[in-house]
Amino acid sequence: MKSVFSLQWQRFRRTPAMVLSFFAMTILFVAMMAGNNPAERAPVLTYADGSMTEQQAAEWVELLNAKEEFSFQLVKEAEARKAVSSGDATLALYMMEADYRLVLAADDMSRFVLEAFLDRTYREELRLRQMESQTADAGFRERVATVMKEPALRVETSTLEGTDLFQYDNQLQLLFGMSLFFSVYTIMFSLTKIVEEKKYGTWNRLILSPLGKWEIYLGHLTYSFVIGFAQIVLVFLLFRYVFGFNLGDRFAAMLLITACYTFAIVALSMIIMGLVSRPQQLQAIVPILATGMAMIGGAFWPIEIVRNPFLLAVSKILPITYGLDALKGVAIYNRSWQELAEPISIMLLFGVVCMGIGINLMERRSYQ
Amino acid sequence: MTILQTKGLIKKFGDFAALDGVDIEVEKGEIYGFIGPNGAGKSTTIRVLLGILKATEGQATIFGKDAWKDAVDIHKRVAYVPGDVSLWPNLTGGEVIDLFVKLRGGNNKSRRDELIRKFDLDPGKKCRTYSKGNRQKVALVAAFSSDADLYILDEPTSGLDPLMERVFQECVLEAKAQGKSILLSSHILSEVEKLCDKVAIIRQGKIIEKGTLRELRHLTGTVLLVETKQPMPQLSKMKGVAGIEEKDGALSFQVDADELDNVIRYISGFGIVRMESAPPTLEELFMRHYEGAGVGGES
Repeated sequence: MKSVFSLQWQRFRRTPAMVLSFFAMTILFVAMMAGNNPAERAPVLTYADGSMTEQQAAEWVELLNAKEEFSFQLVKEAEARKAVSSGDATLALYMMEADYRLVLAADDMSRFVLEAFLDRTYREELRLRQMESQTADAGFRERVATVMKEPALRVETSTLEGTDLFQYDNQLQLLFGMSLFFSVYTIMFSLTKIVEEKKYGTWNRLILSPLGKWEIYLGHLTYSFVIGFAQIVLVFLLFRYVFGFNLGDRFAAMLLITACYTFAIVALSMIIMGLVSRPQQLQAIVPILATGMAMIGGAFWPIEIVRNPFLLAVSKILPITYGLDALKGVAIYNRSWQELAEPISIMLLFGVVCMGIGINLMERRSYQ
Repeated sequence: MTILQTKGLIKKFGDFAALDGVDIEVEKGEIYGFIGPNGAGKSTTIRVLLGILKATEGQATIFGKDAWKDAVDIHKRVAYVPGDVSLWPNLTGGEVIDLFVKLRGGNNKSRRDELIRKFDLDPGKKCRTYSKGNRQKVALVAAFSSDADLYILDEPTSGLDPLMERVFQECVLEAKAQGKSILLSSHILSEVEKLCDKVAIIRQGKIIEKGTLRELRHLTGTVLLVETKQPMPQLSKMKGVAGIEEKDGALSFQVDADELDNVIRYISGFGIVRMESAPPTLEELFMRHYEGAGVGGES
C-alpha cells in the first residue's frame, strides 16, 4: 500500500499542475468574491428623502457605516437611480426619517443580507430614539453603550423547527463553498489515475506484484484523500492567518468535518470510476457533477435561501450539503458536538455505502 | 519438484473455449517453452496462471498453491515479463525498476545496475520516450533483479535486437543455473530450441504436443538427405517415410524414429554416394503440426 501511495506522490511531483491549479483557483475565487476587507466592497449608494435635513441624512449614514458590515455612500437621488437603472449598482438605499426603501432594478441575492442588516440597525436606533425622547437623561446614549458591553441578559434565539436563525457570513460562505467545490475536482481527477492505469495496462503490473488488490485501492484512495484534505485545510489556514477570516476557535472540529467530507467525496468518486471505462468520459462527467452538487448543495449561495422543495430534497443526498452545514455550524453558529454528530455521521455513512458500491462496480468491470 | 502445473484447464468466454483442457508441468530448475500461433491460447493460459483470469474449469497451481485464490502469495515469488510492457509514462525507467524491486521487497542494487549496463538501458529517460524494446528491457531488468523462484516470460524478446536477445538468453540460463524455473512463451523458435528443456505446443486451446526436444524429435523422426547411385523407386511407399523432396540430385525426406533401421537397410541396397542426417529443428516440428491444420482461437 505504501509503495502505491508513494508512487502516486512520485507521479504528482512530475505533474503537479492540475492539483495546484485547483488550489490556486479556490484562493482566487474566494479572495476575489469575498474580498479580504469588507470595506473594499462597492458602497451602497444612499439618498435621503426630501423631508430629511442634510445633517439628519449624514447622521444616518454615519450610523450605518459604524458597524463596518457595509459601506454606505450618500449621493443625490438622481445619481443613485441612474446607477441602478444603468446596472452600475445592483441596488440603492432610499432613507426616510424613520424608515427606508431599497431601490432595485432586478432581484439580487445580496439584498437579503443588506435588508437584514438595515432592519436590525433601524429597529435598534428607532427604539433608542424613542427611549431617549422619554427620558430627561442627557447621558442616555453613553449609559446604553456602557450597559451593552456587559448585558444583563443574553438571548439565544431559535426557530420553531429548532434550527438556528439564519446568519449570513459572505466570507465564510464563499470560503467553505469554494473550498469544498474545488476539492471535488482535485479528488475526482486524482482518482482518474485508477481508470487510466486500468486502461493503459499499468494496473495489471501492480496486480501482478505481491500486493493485494485492497492494498492497491487503499494506496490510491489514501493519496486522493490526503491531497483533497490538504487542499481544503491549506485554504482554510491561508484565509485564517493571511486574509484574517474569522473561522472561530474550533479548528479541530473543522478538521474532523473536512476529513469526513473528503472521505465521502473519495467514496463517491469510486462509484463514478466504477461506472466509466475511459478517462475521457471523466473529463466530461466530473465538471458537471462537481458544479451540480455545488449549486444544489449550497456552495455557491446559502442553501437557506433556497425554497424549491425538489432542490432541497436533492440536496439532502449530497455530502457537500452536510459538509457546508457542519462547517458553518462550527464557525458561525458554534454548534455543540451533539448537533454536529448528525451531518458528520451522514457523511460517514454516505462514504461507506458509496465505497462498497464503487469497489464492487470496479471489480465487476475488471472481470467481465 | 513441480513448480507449476495445470490440469484440464478450461477457460470459456461465453460459448467460445479459449482453453480446452490445457495440461502443462514445469519442474524446479527447468526452462519450459510454450509455443503456438497467435490466438492459440498462450497468453490466456499465462493470465490464468497469474491469477488475472479465473479458469472456468480445471486446476492451475504454482508452488502447490491455487493460481486464483492464492495469487498474492504466488506473486511474491513470481516475476513476469509481458510481450507488450505498459509503464507509467511520466516516471523514468530507473524509477519503475526501483518500484518493481521495492514492491517485491528486494533491494539488490548491484544486480540492478549490472543488468542495466548489460541491457544497455538509459534509466534516466521517461518511460513515454522509450521504444517497445526499451520498455521490454525495463521489465526484464526489473524481473531479473528480483529474487523470484519462477519467471513467467510471455514473448519477452519480441522487441529486442539480436544482441540484446543474447543478453536475455544469458540471463535465463543464469537463472536456471541458480535453480529457478522459467516458463517461456515465444514466437522465436530458435530461442526456445536453444534454451528450453521441455516444450509444449498449443493449438486452438489444446496442448497437441509436449515433452523434451529429444522426445519430440523422436516422435517426429529424422531428416535424411541421401544421394544414391541408383534411384529408389519404392522409397515413397515405405512405412515411416514422409516429405520427400529432391534437392541437388539428392532426396531429402523425414523418417520416423522406429522405422529408421528398415529405411537405412533399404537405401543401402542402391549404393549410397552421400548421406546427411540432421534432427528436425523446432521450426520443422512446429510447422509439421501446423501445416495443413486450421489454426485459430482467441488468446
